[in-house]
Amino acid sequence: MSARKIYQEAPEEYVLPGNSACQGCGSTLALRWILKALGKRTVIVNPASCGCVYVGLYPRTAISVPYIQMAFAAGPAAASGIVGGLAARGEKDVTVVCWAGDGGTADIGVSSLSGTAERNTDYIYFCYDNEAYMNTGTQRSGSTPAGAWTTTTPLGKKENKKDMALIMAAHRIPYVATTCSSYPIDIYNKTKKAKNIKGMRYIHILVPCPPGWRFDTGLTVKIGRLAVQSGMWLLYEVENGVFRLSPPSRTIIEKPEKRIPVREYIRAQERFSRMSDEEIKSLQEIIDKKLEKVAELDGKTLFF
Amino acid sequence: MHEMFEVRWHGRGGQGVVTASRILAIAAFNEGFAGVQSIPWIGAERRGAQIEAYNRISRTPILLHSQVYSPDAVVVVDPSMITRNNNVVIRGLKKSGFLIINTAGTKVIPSIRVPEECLVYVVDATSICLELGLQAAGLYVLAMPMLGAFAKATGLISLKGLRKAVESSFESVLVEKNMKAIEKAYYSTLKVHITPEQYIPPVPPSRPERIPEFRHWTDLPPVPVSTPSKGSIGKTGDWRTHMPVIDKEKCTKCLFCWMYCPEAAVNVNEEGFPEIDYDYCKGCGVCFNECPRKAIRMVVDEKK
Repeated sequence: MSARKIYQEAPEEYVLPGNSACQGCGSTLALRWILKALGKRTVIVNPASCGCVYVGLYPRTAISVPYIQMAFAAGPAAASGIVGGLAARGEKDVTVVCWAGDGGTADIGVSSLSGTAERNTDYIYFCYDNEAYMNTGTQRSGSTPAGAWTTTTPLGKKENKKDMALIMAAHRIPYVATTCSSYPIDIYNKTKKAKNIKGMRYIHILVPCPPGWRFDTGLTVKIGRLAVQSGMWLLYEVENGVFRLSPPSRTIIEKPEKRIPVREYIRAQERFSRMSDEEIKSLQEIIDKKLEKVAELDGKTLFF
Repeated sequence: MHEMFEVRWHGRGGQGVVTASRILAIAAFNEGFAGVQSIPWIGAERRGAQIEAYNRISRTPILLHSQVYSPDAVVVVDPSMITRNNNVVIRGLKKSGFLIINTAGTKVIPSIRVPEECLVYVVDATSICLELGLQAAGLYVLAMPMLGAFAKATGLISLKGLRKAVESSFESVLVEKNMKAIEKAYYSTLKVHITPEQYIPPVPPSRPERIPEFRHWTDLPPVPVSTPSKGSIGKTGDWRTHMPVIDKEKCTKCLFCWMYCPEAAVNVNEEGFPEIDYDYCKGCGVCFNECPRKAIRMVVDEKK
């Protein structure tokens, strides 16, 4: 689908200009496309994150759908309460969305998120993953990749990134997907698909963050694309347990010549400046092995 | 000199205001001042939002720990702040205090109102940063050259003291770049002549409003609900140093700029051409990087 076709299909903007997000923010770009796909009948619950700030201060807001700010650990709980409330009122065509950062998902909010997944509450959970607590000034989260600088890991993080999407898929919810803000059409399509599925849906979005990842504001889309093209970030869907790669990731697995060395992705950002060439080499080996395994998994059932 | 010299910095998040205020405090300490303070005031905001920082410099230890309400010097890092709201910037400025502004040319000078006998200094910090490429994570660090202007205008600290402070705060690669900017600003700071019509009676220091007391829950105001509106935090066009310009002859109406704009600041006109909303474009440069036909140029925003 071309950009022009989508413009004809969804010209309406729900994220209004003049908000207080940083220049080149990947997360507003992602939210813009999600709301385009979901339309006006949407309620957003937002646990503490950058999202709480860029919607603006009272008495004005930048998002033109109901937007409820919630405590860090209570996002999914509040969303399930709203689902219940809407059901009691008999409103059926409203989509309830939880829009949370990676800290609110992988660290603080994980228990209530897991609870809603177990109960299969009918809402969509979006995790926008900028790989640290960016709202409070770049502290490490469970989702920060190994080797990345943050203010609490000044020498580079030692531990690996938590794979939230697969954790959620292991809950056997009907739909899990990963995407990236550099692929707005992919976000749009996956959100549209999720909208028509009943039960708990989980979509994990990688969003580059210029101040936290330390790169030029104009490169937000380029960096996200490098993450996908180097295999550092995979785009896939798990629908009723069946794992399926999305086109951008399938291309780099089927045609290794199109794959970009992970070095290019790492060296494009200053947060990985502590990583030595040897560490990048071993990371490349890990990614190559991972991609081989993923190629075998494509189209198969993940869990039994 | 007064017993205690107080400074207020006005700038936007990401311009290095907090860092510059810290370096000023270190430099003053190195110069032999026994009491120095550097206080950032950021609020819940992020890059681009208006922030303030305060300094106190004294020969004797300082026991006062509050924001600065009646500064001896005000440093304005972003000229759009003073053109938009002169009163906020000069609030509490003492009679015969210093006002140091970053501006190219002297266009903004006639619109400035200051307390009596104030000394106004200007320096073109933006061009100094552009020339030296003094950037951090995609934004120009305008506040660093303002330190040089401050040193020249007030004579409170020397370049030598600043160098010592910069050396202790940055890695060796960045020291020379920052010092070059500071020195350049030091030698190009100019005193501006202010006509008597521009003097205003002294502005009393602002005090926080008293919060009303509620005795019963029925006295409470109704639940605050924000209304969606464009420009919820004002015209964010002020944030940019560079503005994108579309070349209509090269444009093929592919609408990639509309698709990738994180701000939703690209509109489509009746002929199908994209049009940039300069009131809200933050100048991140994503459209410039993503345009497949290279039909977008980034030019320095001359309006400031």
